[in-house]
Amino acid sequence: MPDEDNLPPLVHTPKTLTEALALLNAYPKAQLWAGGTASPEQDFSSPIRLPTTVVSLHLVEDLKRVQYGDRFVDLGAGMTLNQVLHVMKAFLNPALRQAILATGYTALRNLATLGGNLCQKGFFGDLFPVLHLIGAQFEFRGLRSARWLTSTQVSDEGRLTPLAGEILTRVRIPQEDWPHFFYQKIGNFRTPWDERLSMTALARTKHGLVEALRLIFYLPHTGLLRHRGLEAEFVGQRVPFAPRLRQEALKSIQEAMQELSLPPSLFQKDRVLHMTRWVLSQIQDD
Amino acid sequence: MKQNLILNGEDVSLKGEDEDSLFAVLKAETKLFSGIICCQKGFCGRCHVLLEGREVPSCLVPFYQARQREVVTPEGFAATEEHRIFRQLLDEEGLVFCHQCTEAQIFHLSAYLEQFPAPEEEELRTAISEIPCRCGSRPVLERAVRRLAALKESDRAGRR
Repeated sequence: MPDEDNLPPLVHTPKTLTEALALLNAYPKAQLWAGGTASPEQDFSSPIRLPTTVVSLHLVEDLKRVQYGDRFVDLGAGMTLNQVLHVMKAFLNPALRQAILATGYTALRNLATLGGNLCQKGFFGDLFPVLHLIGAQFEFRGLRSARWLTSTQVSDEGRLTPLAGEILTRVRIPQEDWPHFFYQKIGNFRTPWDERLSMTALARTKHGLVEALRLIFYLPHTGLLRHRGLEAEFVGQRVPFAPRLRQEALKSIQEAMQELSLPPSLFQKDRVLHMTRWVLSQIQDD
Repeated sequence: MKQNLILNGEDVSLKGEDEDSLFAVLKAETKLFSGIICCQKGFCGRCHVLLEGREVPSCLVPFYQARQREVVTPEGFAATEEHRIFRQLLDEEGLVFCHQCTEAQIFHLSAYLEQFPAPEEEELRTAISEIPCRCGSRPVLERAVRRLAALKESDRAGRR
């Protein structure tokens, strides 16, 4: 019996979503291939390490469509990150724009797809934390099923995991104004996991009072760190925040980190506190 | 396995496996990218091509994705009027050409301006920094790219 690892990969290139789903159904072990840019982590060289059976999505136009609603935009999961930048232009949430730009350089963003970034197996945590904060929704389609999930219904790992036979097809981006936005990513795929993290914060104020504040950290081995209780405590508070309020917030964040199933590294703890302090000091009235 | 594609405007049939990188096939099967050393990891920027009009690192593109599609390499781009104009601007600004990065920069920045015609100052600087270069030519490149962007803009305005 031939060694499966030595066989050339079987590559399928469907042109429609239905074809792609049928192929996933027919080949349960097949792996989806979108932009393929997450692979450099696995020591890229030619030949490229394709899975044994590949369903490549690069020709599936159904996954590249954009639909505009009254208060949201639906983006096809097969859109490249540059297509997202181009299509959304001024309407793109500024934190999401920063997160997209931080994923990689221009040519890489011409390959990397929205769906690929959200579902890839490496732990980069680029876009999911931002989409989580802005309340994005995700559509998964199977051969005979379709479901929408909110970001709180999917994993806390910082990435999406479709069920067997499913494809992430659309991402619904709510159009809300967040005048205060912060996005910071530390480290890249060369950096050890315990020295990587990202932070996203969004805030809205009116007449000197906080209307809404959202803050999330992504820690690669732990997942997402979001303290909703703390966010709620800031609603109605006057800006700039009083030193005592900021100190209490730092204490709450510290306690939240201690409750995580996998504790963050000292470096991550330090950066989380530092960035929280910085965000809270930057929020002023609109 | 042979696959057909449009390479620098010509229909060609190149031999390669699905999992070979487009860069590896182009280097092995044609005289393109001659003398160019690529990192094979998508970092160096020297293997970039236009795939269906979009700049991509060809070392990250599996060969099967080029099937029946249009590929333009820096060599193909070098034969265009746009390249001649850009090179002239770089000459006027006093760029000293190096074999490894200058052509990659010209190719990258031309493609970038095509995709993002009116970049902000910071965006343009980021775009220039995307091709690793130790020649110290970034300020010169920036001046030339600004002039090229202005030329393109007036060309577009003239066509309106």
